[in-house]
Amino acid sequence: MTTATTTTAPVHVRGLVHRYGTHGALDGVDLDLGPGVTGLLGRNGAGKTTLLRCLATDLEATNGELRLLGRDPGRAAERTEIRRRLGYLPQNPEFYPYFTAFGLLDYMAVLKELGGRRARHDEVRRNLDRVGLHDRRHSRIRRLSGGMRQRLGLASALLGDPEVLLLDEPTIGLDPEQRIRFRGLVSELAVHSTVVLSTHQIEDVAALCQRVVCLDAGRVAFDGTPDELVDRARGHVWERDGHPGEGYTAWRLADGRYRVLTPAGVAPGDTDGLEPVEPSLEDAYLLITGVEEGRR
Amino acid sequence: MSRVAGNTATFARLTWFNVVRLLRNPLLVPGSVAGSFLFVYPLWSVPAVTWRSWYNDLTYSAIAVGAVMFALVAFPATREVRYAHRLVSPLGLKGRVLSLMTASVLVSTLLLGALAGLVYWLSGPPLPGTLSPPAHPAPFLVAAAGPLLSIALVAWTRSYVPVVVAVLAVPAYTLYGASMMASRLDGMARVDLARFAMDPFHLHLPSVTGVAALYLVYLVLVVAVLVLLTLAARGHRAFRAVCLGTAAVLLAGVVGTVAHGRQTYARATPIPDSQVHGARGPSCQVRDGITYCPLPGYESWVEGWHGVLEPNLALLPEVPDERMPVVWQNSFSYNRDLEVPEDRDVMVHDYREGHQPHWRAQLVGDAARVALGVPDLYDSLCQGTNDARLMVVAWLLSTGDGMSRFEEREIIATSLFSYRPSPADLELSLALAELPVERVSEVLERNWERLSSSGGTSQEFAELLGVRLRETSARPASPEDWARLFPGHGYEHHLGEVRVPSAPACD
Repeated sequence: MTTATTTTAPVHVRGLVHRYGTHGALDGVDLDLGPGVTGLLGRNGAGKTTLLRCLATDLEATNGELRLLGRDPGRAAERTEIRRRLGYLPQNPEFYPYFTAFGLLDYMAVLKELGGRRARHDEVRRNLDRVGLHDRRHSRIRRLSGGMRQRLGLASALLGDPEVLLLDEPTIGLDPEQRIRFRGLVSELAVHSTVVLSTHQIEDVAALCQRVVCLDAGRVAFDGTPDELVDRARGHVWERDGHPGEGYTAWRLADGRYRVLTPAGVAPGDTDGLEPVEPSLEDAYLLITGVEEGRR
Repeated sequence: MSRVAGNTATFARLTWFNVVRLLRNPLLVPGSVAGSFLFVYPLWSVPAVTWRSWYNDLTYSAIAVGAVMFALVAFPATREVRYAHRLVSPLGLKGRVLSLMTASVLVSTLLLGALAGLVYWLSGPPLPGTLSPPAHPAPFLVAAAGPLLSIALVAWTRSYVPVVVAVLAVPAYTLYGASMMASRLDGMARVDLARFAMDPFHLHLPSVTGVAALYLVYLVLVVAVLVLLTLAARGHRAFRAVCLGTAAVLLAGVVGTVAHGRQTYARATPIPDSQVHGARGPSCQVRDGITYCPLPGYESWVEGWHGVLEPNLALLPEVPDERMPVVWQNSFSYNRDLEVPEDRDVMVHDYREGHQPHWRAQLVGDAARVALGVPDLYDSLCQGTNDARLMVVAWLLSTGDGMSRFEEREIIATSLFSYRPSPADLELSLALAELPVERVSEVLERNWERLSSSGGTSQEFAELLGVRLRETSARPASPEDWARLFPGHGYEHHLGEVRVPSAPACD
C-alpha cells in the first residue's frame, strides 16, 4: 500500500488494485464515501464484490491505498478496530444450519462485542424485529426460506448499527413488502452511517441511493448522483415500433414497441421512427456499462 | 480499549457462548454419564476404594467424555470452519477456532470434574494410596484430546467426519472384535491397540512421580500437536509451515518421550518406595511381632491386616522372632523394590478385596505357613503329605467367622491341595474344624515343639487330639479320595495340574 493521505471520509480509496493471480479484478479504483447510501453498479465480473470484500477487510488489496473510518486495514490492530464498527452482508451468505435465528444473531453479536448478555439479547431481538423475523426466532436456519435467510443476513449486518455498512446483493429473494421494509431500514441507518449497496436491482438504487458508482472492468466508469447518471443518458434513449436492427442495444417493451439505446456521440443511422424518450436510471446504467463497452 | 484487551474480552465472551451451547447439548451429559457407566461399571464389582482405582475409573470416564465430545464438537467446529470462514469479525477464524478449543477443554474438564467428584463420593473417602501431582491433570487431558482431535479433523476436511467416524466406530469395533475372535486371536490385541494411543507406556502408575510425569509430558505434547495441526489447516502459507514444522518437532518429542518411558520403566522394572509420591521414611512397622510394610499411602490398611492376623497367630503357642511373618504390600501394577526376608514374606496387594473369607484365608494361611516353617510352593517344590504343620494351618483357617460350611471346607481344601495331602490328612483337617478351639490350642500348647517341626505328622496330631481316623493311607489322596472327602468341590478334576507328583517332603 502507498503512503496514507489525510482524509475524513469514512471510506477512502485511492488507486486500489486487486488481482486474483493474473486476473485483475480491481484496476485503480478511487473513491471517497461518506454518510448516505452509495449504490455500486456494474455487470457480473465488474469488480463489485471484490471491492466490497476489500472494504470489508475480508480481502487484502494487491496495491493502492485504503482507509476505513480513518484506519488502515493493512495493520492488524487497526483492522480489528474497523471490524468492530463495520457491518457486512456478503453475497450468498452461508449460515450454520443448526443455529436458530436468535442463536445466529446472538453469536454474531458476541463477535461484534455487543455489551453484556442482556444488552446483547435486546439488540438481537431489535434486529429480528427490524427484518420481520421475530416470530421465527426459534426456528432453525435450515427450516427458513431463502428470503428469510437473506433477511437474517441483513439483520446480522445491522447489529450494533455499524458506522460502515456493506451490502452485497442484499435484496435477492426478498418479496416486495420486505424490499420496501429493507429500504426503510437502510435509509434510517444512512442518516449517520456510510452504506455501500452492491446490486443489480436498479429500482433499489433509484429509491435509496444519493450516489451511484458504476464499475466496469475493475475501474470506476461513473461516480455521481443518480440524476447525473440519468442526465448522461439524455438524448441516447429512444423508442420505435420495430427492432432497429444489428448494432443497437434494444429490447421489446410490454406494449410491443422497442426501447433503443445509442451510445454517446453516436447518432443512430436510421432515425426513421425513433422517438426520443426520457431516460431511466436503468437506461443510464446500461449505457455506462454495456453500450460504451460495446463501442470500444 | 486496547486491541489485546478487546480481543481477549471477545475471546472470553465467545468461549463462554460456546461453553453454554455445548453444555445445552442434550446428548452431552447423558452420553458422558452413560459412557462412563459402561466403561466403569465392570470395575465397580471391586469397590473403588483406593486412589489408584479411583484414578482408573476417572481415566475410563475421561475416555467416555472425550469420545462423546469428539462427536458433538464436530458441529460447532463445522460451523466455524465451513460456515463462518468468510465471516468478518474482530476475532478472526483462528481466534474463533481457538475459542472453541478452549470451550471444549473447559466443558470436558467440567464434566470430568463432576464425574470425578461423584466417583470419589461413592468411594467413601478418605481413600488410601497416593497420586503424584503430575498425574492429576492427565485424565483431563485425555478427555480434552477427544474434542481437540475432532476440531482438527473438521479443520482439515471441512466436514462432519468426526460424526461419521463416531457413528461407524461402534459397529466397526464390534465387527473387528468378532473377526478377532473368529480368527482366534487374543482379544487383548484389540484392547491393547486402543489403549496404546491412550497410554503407550508399559506402566500406568499415577503414584510414581517419574511415570506420571512422563505420561503428562506425552499428553501435553499430543494436545499441543492437535492444536498446531488445527491451526495449520487454515491461514497463510508461512503460518501453516510454521505450525506444521512445530507440530513435527513436537511429534518427535512424543515419540522420544514414549521410547524413553518404555525403556526406563519396562514392564518388570522394580520401583522403590522413594519414587512413589508421598513416601516418608521407613515404610515398615512392627505390631505384636508381625512386621507390616505397606505401600506409601496405605498405612491405614495395617490395622485391617493386623486385625485378621493377630487373633489367629495368637492361637499358636510360641512363634520365635525369626519365624514371625513380614507382611509386605506389593502393587498390582508394578514390582515393588523392597528388601524382605524371603522365607518370612507374606505378600498382600494394593486392591481392596474386603474381608471376604478367601482373602482372609490367603493372608492367614500364608502367615501361618511362615510361622510354622512350611515352605511356599512358589519358592520350593515339596510335598506336605502327612505333615502336622499343614493340619495346624488348616485348623487356623477354619477358625474364621462368617463362613458357610461349604466355604470353610473349600478354604481348607484350597490350602492343602497343592501339598498333596493324604486321605488321613483330609479327614483330620475336617475333624479339626469341628473340635473346640480350646482343645486344639491345649494340644498345641503341650506339643508345640513337635507339631511345629517338619517331623511332626498328622497321625501324631490326631492321636494327641484323640481323633480316630478312618482313613489310614499315608499316600497322596487320589481323585476318588477327594471326591469322597470333599464332595462337590471338584478337586478330583484338578489333580493332574499339581506339579509335585514326586517332590521331596517339605522341610
